[in-house]
Amino acid sequence: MATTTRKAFRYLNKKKYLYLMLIPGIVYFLIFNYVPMYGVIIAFKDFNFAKGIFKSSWIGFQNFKYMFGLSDFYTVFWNSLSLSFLKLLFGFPFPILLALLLNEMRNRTYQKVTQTLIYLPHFISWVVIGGILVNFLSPSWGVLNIFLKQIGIEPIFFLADHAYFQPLVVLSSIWKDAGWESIIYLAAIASVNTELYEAASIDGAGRLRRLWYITLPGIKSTIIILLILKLGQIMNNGFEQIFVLQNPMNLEVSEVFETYAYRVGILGGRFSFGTTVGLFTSVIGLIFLLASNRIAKWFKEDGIW
Amino acid sequence: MKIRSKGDKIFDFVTYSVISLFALACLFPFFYVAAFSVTPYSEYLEHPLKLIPYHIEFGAYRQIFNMSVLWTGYKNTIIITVVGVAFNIFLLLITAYPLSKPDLKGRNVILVLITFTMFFNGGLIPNFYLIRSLDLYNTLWSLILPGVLGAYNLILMKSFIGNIPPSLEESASIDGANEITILARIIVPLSKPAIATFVIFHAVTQWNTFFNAIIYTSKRDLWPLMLIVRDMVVDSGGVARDMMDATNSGVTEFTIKMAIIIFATLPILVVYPFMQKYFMKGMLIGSIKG
Amino acid sequence: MGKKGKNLLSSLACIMLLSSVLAACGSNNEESTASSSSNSASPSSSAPASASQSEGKAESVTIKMFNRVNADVVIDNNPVIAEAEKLANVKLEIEAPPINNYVDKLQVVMASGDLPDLIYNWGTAGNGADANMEKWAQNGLLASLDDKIGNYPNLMKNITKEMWDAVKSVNDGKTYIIPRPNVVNHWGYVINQQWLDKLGMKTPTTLDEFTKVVTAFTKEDPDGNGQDDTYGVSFSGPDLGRNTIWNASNFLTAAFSLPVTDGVKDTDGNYKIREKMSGYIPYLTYLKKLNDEKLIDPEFLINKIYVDNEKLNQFKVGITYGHQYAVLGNISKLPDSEKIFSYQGVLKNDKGVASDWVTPAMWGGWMIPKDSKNIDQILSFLDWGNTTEANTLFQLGIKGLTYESYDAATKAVTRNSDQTAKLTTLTSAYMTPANAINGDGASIQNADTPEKLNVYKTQLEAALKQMTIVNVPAVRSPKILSLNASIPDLVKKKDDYEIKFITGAISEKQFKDFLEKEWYPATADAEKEYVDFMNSVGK
Repeated sequence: MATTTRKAFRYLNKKKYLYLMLIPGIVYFLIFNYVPMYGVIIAFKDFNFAKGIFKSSWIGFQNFKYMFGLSDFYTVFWNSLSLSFLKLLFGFPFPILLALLLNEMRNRTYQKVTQTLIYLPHFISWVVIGGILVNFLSPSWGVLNIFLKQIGIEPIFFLADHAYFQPLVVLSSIWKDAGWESIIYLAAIASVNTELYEAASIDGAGRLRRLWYITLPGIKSTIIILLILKLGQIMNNGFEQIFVLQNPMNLEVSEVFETYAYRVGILGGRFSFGTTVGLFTSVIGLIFLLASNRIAKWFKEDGIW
Repeated sequence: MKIRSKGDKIFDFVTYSVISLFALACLFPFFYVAAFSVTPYSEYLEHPLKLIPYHIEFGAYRQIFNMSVLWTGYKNTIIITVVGVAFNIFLLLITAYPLSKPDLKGRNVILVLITFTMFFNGGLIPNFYLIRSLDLYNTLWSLILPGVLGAYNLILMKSFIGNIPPSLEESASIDGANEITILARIIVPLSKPAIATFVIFHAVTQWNTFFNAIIYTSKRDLWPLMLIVRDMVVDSGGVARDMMDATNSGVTEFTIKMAIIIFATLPILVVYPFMQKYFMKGMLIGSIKG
Repeated sequence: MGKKGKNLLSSLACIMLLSSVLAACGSNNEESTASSSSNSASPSSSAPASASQSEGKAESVTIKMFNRVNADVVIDNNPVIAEAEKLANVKLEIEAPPINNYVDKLQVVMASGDLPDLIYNWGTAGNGADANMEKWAQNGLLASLDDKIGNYPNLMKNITKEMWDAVKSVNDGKTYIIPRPNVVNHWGYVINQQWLDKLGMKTPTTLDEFTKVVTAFTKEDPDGNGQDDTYGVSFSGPDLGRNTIWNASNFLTAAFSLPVTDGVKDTDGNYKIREKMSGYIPYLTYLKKLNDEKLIDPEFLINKIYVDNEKLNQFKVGITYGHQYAVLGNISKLPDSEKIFSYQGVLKNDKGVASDWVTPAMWGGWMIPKDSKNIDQILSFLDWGNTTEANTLFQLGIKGLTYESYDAATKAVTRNSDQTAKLTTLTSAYMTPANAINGDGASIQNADTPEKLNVYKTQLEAALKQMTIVNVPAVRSPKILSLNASIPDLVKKKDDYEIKFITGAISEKQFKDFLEKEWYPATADAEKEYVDFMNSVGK
């Protein structure tokens, strides 16, 4: 007994600076994340404005039963999931590609300029971009359709046609954020050990080979961490983007959990139900994250922990 | 220099064309907005596709320069961005560094608990209570502290620091330096690209923040720029002006909206290139060799 | 379990520590901290911050007002607000979250337990007594005001019986909200007069004429740019919940004797739900025809609010709905609007009657929390708000500062450019406790020259001469008002089927089958209650 305590003390003493450094961060998470977390209990309550969170009456899983009973629910579930997978499938590799290509550019000035340009869309909020996009694609006055008309193609009603909605969301989010997300890979590439490159070029390896055998493996752990984190956000479709592109004619394919919870939970003042929806999506997200982290470990990769 | 092989040339061609095309696509809407913020409305109506105006007029800018709310917003946004980024980077570094040590006891528990916060939060009302009981309501702190340290960026930072070869640290610890010194003397210089990344990430997050300001402040002189911009540019902002008497300056609402967007985005675009050098390779070699 | 307890304990300790540190930081970083910390006392106590005032009765009471105000208005050190404080002998602390997220913040404030003294609720279609108000009232947050309002002469005079009736709770029949009276809007349409003149056509007053004009606007290149890029007419809607074709589309539905609001009899003299009315299918069929023949903006079903107006201003569309203030109001968006567009009344039906359905003119309303200690003082502030003095102050500002001269009789205002600029930062219609006194505002927006004022007056007179005004009572039968909550899936399906019928995705038979088999049975109960209610109102 005494020895283990002493061992523990010795360990703590040895690592005291590391633990000391952790304190502010842990305190932060406790206060700003864990303290308010009691709020999830209103998913199991019938929220009453006058009584508040604690005094509202318990109703067990009634909110969940109601949610699973809504015919909308399954449509929304499917929309959220399928949209996320499409975004992941096409949107995830693109920033990696951009970063790799940017890194291979030898003309530094040109590299700098293009790099700045591809970040531009990220700075403009979805509300604005969405407005411009809706305008561009409009069959009545949109630039794109004016162009199509001029080359003899019938105008396409992009935002009403169900087939176009998901591709549109995927493409516009790649266009808006891929450049921005490439920053993180560029930073990772910048940390790849440069001696490896020098050795490789002495060996006469072509640039494509160097990219494949040195750069990519060098940023592999970053890619995997980001992939795991992205999988954890599988139920987040990006509220603002969907919200601005939504309209009564595409609602069947465009309603996702975030827009749904906002409409029902906040605007409608049904905090209990809104929280129920939120809690459900969180659990799904957590499952995805845990599963992908586990898979990464099976392949002997660094997971999140 | 070395001779360029045929493969290298094709490679170059592909690289330059993909990047150039993408860059052009990204530039387009921004250019569009900028062009129409200085194009007379009548000209825009005639040629909605023409991006280079015949006449340039800065009437819309003159008008928004007179809007005092925008300047207050600017001041607030700059404060919450600068202070927020400073806190963010400091907290990220001191938290990520210990967590990057695979052998640190308790590390996994802490990481799991931190990851957990990515998924579960109390929702609007408990957060509102929290901000008020911390006495942060109606202060700019309420726009700085919530979210200043996020699980997502922390995990990324941890992974970056974890990638730094341990050998670099070991030499220092043999010299008897403690971990705080190692962090400051070795890890920080080596993490410049990562730090630059998170500076720009958090700066943009703070620059674009608006929702917290709605919930956590009740005074208009605490509104950040983006909140004002949204209210003026989006849907009902139009209603707002609709309800009022005309300014009769001859500048249309459309042009003013375009100008406000540029006005609110320009600063961060100006700042960005100064950060850029940290992403360039070569920085790192210098710090290792030096 | 034990771990969790420890977490909580330690985090509580940390909160105390951190909050004291931050409070110290705050005071030297921002000037606003000092005043704010007093507001944020303890969140659990639901008493409004009025303790300091209740001691000295002679002192003017402080009213914390939660209002929906456009972003341009500067609240702090605002001379218009200062003037209002002086005139009404109160202190005003106005909190005005951004318009776009007003409801978000309102919901949080209502749930927080620390309510302002006077809370604005916009509600649905201008009636503040919406489902949210009913819930707050039912949860016991709001003061019922029935036994008090009688003491306030201006409230009783300016707010009509129809308005009071329109806001009574459908659950208990009590009054929890005080309507903000608005000017009466005569919804008709706004048309591009230049196009009409160019094509040598008259403004349409019947459906036939209307179809001809719409066709010409689409096909005969009214803007003369040599391109086929114009449409006759367009619509827009405020939110996803309602189809755009029911949003103030009076000008067109009138041709089918189909009211866009509840509370009006069908052509056979009976009350029924809209979907059973004789004009319902014909109206939708007409829209289908316009859509098939590409005479209507293809986006008429999905335009967000004011997009139709933007299309009008960019000369892509020739007609949209609008009321008598629309043309002058549009000057803020497009200079010289009054020379380009004109306002017209609704179309005539097949019997030659142009029905102008007018509902009680309200723009949301004001709620007072139950725990408020100053209900009387707050009511007397609102009472003052319903006077011409208050209305003039908030609409026009202060003489010399925001206008040069004002003539109440003709409503003529003159301003120099400095004063105009000042006005936008000092006040707006959003600031008024009552936006109309006896149905009229102090000024007509943008009518700052005699010519403009004249445009407004002649167009309104012409429209009113043509139209027959029908005053529609407020419908307060609970079931018909809460279909969205009781059968949300079906309401959504019906909206969707209307759209699908218009766009041709389903046939008329499929649409009618749906109405017969699903919609009518599901709404039978609500309809019966509604009909009974309406018949009782008549008596």
